[in-house]
Amino acid sequence: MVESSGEALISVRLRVNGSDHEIRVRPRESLAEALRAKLKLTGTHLSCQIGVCGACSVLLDGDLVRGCLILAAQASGRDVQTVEGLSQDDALSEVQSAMHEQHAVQCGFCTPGFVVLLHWLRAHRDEMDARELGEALSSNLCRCTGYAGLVRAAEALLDRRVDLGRTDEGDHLEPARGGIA
Amino acid sequence: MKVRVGEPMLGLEDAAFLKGRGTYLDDLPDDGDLHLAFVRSAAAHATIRAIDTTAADVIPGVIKSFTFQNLNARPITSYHTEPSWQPSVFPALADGRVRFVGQPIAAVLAVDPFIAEDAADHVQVDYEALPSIVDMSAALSDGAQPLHPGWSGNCYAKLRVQHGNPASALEQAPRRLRLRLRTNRQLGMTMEPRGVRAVGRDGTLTVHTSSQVPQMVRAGLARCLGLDPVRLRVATLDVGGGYGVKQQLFPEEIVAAVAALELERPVRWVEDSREHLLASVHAREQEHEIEVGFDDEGKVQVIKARIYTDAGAYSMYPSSAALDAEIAASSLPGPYEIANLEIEAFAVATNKCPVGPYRGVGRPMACLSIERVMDAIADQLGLDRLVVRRRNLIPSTAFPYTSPTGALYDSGRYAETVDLLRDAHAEFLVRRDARRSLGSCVGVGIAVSIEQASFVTAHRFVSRGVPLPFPKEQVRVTVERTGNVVALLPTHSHGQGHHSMVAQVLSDELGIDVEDVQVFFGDTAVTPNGLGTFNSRSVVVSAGGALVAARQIRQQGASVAAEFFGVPVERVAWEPGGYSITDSPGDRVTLGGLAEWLSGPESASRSGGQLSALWEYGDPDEVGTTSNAAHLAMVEVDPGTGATRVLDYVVVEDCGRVINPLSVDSQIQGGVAQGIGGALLEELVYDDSGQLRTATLADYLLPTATEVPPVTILHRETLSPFSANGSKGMAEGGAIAPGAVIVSAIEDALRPQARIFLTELPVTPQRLINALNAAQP
Repeated sequence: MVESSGEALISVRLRVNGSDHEIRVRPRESLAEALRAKLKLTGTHLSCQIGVCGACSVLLDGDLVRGCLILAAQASGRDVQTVEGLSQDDALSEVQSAMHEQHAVQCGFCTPGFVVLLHWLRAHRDEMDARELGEALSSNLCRCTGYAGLVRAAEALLDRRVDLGRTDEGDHLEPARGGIA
Repeated sequence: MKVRVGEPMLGLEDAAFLKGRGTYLDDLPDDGDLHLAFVRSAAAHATIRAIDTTAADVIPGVIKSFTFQNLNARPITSYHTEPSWQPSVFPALADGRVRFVGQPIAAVLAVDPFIAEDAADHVQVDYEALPSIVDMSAALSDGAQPLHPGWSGNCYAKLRVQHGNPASALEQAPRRLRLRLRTNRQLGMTMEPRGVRAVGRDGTLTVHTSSQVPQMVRAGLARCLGLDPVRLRVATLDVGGGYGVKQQLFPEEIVAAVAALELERPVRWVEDSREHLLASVHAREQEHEIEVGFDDEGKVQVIKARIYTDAGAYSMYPSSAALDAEIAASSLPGPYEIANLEIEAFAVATNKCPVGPYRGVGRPMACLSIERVMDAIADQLGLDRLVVRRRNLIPSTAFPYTSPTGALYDSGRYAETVDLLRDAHAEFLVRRDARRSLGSCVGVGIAVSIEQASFVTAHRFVSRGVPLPFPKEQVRVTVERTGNVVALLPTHSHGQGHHSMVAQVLSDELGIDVEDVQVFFGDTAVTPNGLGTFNSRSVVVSAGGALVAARQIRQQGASVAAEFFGVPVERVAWEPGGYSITDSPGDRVTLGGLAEWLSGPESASRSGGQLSALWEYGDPDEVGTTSNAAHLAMVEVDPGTGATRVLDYVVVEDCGRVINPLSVDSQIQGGVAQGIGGALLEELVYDDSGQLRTATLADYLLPTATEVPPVTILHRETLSPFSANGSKGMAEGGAIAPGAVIVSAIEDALRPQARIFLTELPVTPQRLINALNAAQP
């Protein structure tokens, strides 16, 4: 099938949240666009679409990726987990409970991206020191909450201190480095 | 779960968002939708000689393209009562002239968004460049061509306010100082893009839009379409942040509505982040020229100010191009008692994106100015910065207090608010000195701020000519037969948690479970009489209104219960959730039970058949509430790179009755984060030709988790005599003071090596290096 703009569609096989799908996408269609439009998984949100904000975060073979920077075609044959796959019908997951209990949600638009990010952080917490955890947490943008609840949620969930690079706290005593992190 | 007012309560809204089950505009199912893409001006200022859509129209999948010639809509009108007001005419698609980069020129409608965007690239626009005016001094210079036809000069409005005798006060003041301050352009930058989906059928229209003010969008859109508002429903879904950006009627909404009416198919548009940065609304860009006279004790006797706002190319609806200037002018004296004042404020037209409200609206710039004045006085007199502020604060005995700008502040104990900061301030100084002894450049700053809120009413808009179809806003609370309580709100929630807030208020007043409260807002078919949310108004309007309505329901219920029990009303006693008979506690009926009984045959003639109460808001003399705060920050500066990091932050605030401390704290934390962005990172930069150089989020820098410390928040509660619940709007306050407090802290950090005085936000590394290079060692 050729779409009306002359673009040939590509057939892509994805395993998404444990189910196998075959979808037809444009070569330039991002994974996030395809998840939303073709699989109706609208929990993956699109905001900046240039890889800065992280609202479209998904897990691809367990790796944390920006759904807007990966083409659906690139994800062919791979395993995708979205916020829907990290959620249960009734109760909140551990990650979600931590975010709820720490009042880390306001408008909700960045929220699924942070749910995915925190799932990934929990899986990798032992590979990172406190400073790296802080840097990882800074990879997604939230415009509402000012991050305090998200940081508390991360610390509660990981049972680890998250070092955000403020030099007067804890053991991190080197002066501020150049540039704004 | 029953929750009392004042207790921390977790958000009832959270679960859906956490599971990815929110429904935002672009989550609406595609029901054969047509998708719009806009052709936007590449020129800051030009005449359009021709638009050729032929190459787009022939692309398979393109349904139709629009230019001003075939777009059946009136331009966006803005309204103001200021005598100097010069309105702009803002057509949804440019009618022969463009005035900012990003202005919509044409729109292409196609069967999917990819085709629409591709086709938009094939629209040819023939520009004839005109000289562009990208800064205010050029716009105001002698001989500058007016940007709008029929205008004299380049000001949308020139405002003036005077009190006392500023000229002689300045002449007689023992000491004087002058400052010139600048805040650069910034914007709200919501995480959810703007978007609209319009469905037309038989001349009626349903428009879903990502907005804070659906009712006002309806009124403005109906006017632009020439449509009776009765044929137009505007509704929101979940809205992913507003901060003032989504408080306008946008050109894209008009085009989508016209297309949906014409084609009778669903029409959808969702912006990308470049469009948000180029062509939503900007804010903040102001220059202030300040002159003050003060005495040897540091008491300010007089302030004169000229406030210039770069208001961009068009005035928006329903806010106006004058808004930032007006609010900066009215709030300039802030928390300080100043006897003599003269302010002139100018809203200047330039070839840049139009401006609109952004959290704080004028107040962050006013706060920067008056707090810089306090710091400069302290420096000149060799006094402590806290002491100088303390000497100028409005005394607690002066409330209700009328500011020399005419603003009426309801209540407050400003000195006590500041005093609550003293311990934290002393601790910060100890930590600062400890860090300094290790060689770090650490400094501490303070600022005091107020937030006048909740004073904007329907009357205010109607008196300006805004075609709102209602004179007052309404809150309706109804007890259903099931025992559920339904609240209809005139405000809009897009992250503020109004469902939780009102459920908590009703749980407290009616003794019901928060889970039994249903809240509706944001749909003109259900809640037509409302203004939406801005001006930190919802705690006064919606929470206050729900409280009054609940009290009325309790009164109604007592009479009904007397009939139900067959006893005089004097023997009916309220107990949480229902009523009993005095001295006979076994006889009990719940509110839901009464509602059920009321709907039955025994009571058909009584009490109008239901427990329901309506509260209206919007007396012409409504003045709202004024909360106050004191902010304290500790920063570390790298003098080699100019980078600043905020190490710690404390806010003491007084917003009257706190309904949910978690929500109040979360609003403060979020506001401070935006304030830190505005103080250090966020800047929309135009080049000399009017091109926006910061049109991606890689260039326009938002704060991340590593730039924002967890804020320690302390509360005072001075109840407002003006609001029904004693609460005062507070949600913008967090964003007002950070600029002032952070520049003060940066100067303190550098004090051991250089004396600088910062006058421009944001303090980017380059600006700080420049200031250091210019400083005397």
